[in-house]
Amino acid sequence: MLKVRVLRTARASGTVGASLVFASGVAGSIGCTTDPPAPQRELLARAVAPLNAGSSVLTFQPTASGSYAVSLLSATPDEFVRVGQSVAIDVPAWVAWDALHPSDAFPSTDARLAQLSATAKLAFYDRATLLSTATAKTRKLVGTGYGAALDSNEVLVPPKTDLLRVTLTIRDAGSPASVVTLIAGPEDVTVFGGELPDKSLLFDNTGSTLRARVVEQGHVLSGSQLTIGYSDWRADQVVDKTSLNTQIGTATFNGRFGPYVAPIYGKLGYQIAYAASLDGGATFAPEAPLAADTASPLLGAGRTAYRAALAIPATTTQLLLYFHVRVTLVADYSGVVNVNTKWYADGQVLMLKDVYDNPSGAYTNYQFPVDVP
Amino acid sequence: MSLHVPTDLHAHTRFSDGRATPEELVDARRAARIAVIAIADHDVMTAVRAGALAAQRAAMILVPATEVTAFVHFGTPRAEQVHVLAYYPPDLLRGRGLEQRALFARGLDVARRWKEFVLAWLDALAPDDRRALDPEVRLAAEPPASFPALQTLIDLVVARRPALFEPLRRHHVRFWDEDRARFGWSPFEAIDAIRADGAIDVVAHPARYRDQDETARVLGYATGVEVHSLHHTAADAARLLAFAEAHDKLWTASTDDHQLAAYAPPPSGTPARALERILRRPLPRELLLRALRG
Repeated sequence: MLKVRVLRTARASGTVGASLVFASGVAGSIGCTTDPPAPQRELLARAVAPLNAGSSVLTFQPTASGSYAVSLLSATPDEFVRVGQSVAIDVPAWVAWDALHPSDAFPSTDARLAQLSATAKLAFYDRATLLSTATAKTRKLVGTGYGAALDSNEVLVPPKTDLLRVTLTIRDAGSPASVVTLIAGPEDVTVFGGELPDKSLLFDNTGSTLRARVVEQGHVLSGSQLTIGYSDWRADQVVDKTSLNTQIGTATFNGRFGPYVAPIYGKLGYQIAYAASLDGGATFAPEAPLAADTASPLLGAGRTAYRAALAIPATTTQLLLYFHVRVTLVADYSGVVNVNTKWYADGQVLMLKDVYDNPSGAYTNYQFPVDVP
Repeated sequence: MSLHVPTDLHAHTRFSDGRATPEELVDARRAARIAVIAIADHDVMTAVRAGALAAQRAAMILVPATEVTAFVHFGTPRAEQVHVLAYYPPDLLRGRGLEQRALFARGLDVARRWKEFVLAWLDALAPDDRRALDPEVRLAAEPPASFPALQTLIDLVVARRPALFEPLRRHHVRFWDEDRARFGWSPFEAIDAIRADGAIDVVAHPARYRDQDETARVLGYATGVEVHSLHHTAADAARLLAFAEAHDKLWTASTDDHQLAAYAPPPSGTPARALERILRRPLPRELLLRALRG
């Protein structure tokens, strides 16, 4: 564990977390020191502990549509890429071979594969603005045959980064004229921690275990905007989705063995609200809804994050939260051809379950310390 | 007492005769807290990659699989399909190992042949019927991998020309019954082909078959037995479990879900030892701990 102080030397500077500055060694208007601050300097942010930006390996894969996508192959300490993290690129040898030699059979020897190499250009963006670029070159072939991959050196993600784009150039020493450049997209790699002191507090689950994490690590910071995220799968767990009866009637279906009568099921919908106290529990704001976001970087493609932005005042030292999860059933008969019985009116919405998500039963709250800037 | 891991190693998607997309199939099992799954479409592996990606995102393990169609008494009035599941190691999904397998290539061939078979049936229809089913004349240009599979085709026919459902239903069995080259394997030959392809063979829903004497012989030869299936009663499962244990067979817990009803997981898990044989690697520690906690 490492504790550092981050000092700002000029008021116009942006706000950057200690871990980023320390890890990347960036000099300039932001200083990083364990020494006592000079009296004329304004203290901007205190320790962000534990400091563990971690490392990640991004892999390059073709998609069904013929384009290429970059995805996380492995990462520590969790599934998020964040500023200050060291990032390496993994290029599967078969991807490199197919891109260079699409008409040639895959080599039967690893020695031939070892002649391939790749250079990844990593472009780091602060929203739409290019911050900097870095190059990662593959160094060696790891694994064998179709499991072989070219692994690169590591590159540090600089402060302020929100997005990472990768362009890959592949070469073959066994066929020097063969060069191909692949651009990953359209999705970029989301990077967290570029907007400090703003952070994200994610409530999700791993199996039946509910958990809450500050994605950027450390504590929530006062005087910031906090994004509260609540995952769809956590909602499933909290309401025990598989125990819900979602049948809305019966219909005749047709299969290879003939017609048969079977249940038809409605669609589940979540209404998730949160209530927060910013004064140690003396008062709670009224419950406020979380908005469903099907494109949230917190969870990735195909998932829904329920989100809200909460302003954390400068005086706050502790954040208390609970959630209110309601699941409804929509009697949607559209798309079913031969409905036999309708249990509900078309489009009727029924409340199936109404539960609170508290850490230890009713009237308990999730508690988070808030660091004072 | 052996450790059991929540599994469902036999289910179908819209790429054969199921209704779910691979992603929907995975999500139903994720919500039911299943740890290890397989998509085992009939004779094709079209859905495996998409399912594996969805499973990876949900921290589940997907076993690449297919359900191979074989016959007993092929070409006779006693002809009956017997299905054998082929399970490949998930490591094949890194790279193109799966696509190099003979049964994967067979799946591409089956998909191509299915498209030909359906287009021939459509072409034999009256022009009005043909137009009703394919008004924009797009089906012929559809690649075999995305050409409507059986259940999707049935749904299309029922929605656009219900009177053609029964003719299609009577006709479609000829796809298997009259194609000895592709589907005329005996169960023993299917098992040999699966083993030669580097996969593990498990006889699907053994209690369902009419010829139980032949089924017993097949089970004696097979590596594994599907004990839990929607087709099995509790008594069937108990009998098959006793058989598997007496004969040192690998056994599995699955559903053969075609999305005809709300998803209900198998009543038991698959033994960890059997699963490790299928996966060809030790189970992750977290998964074993989860199984221990029940």
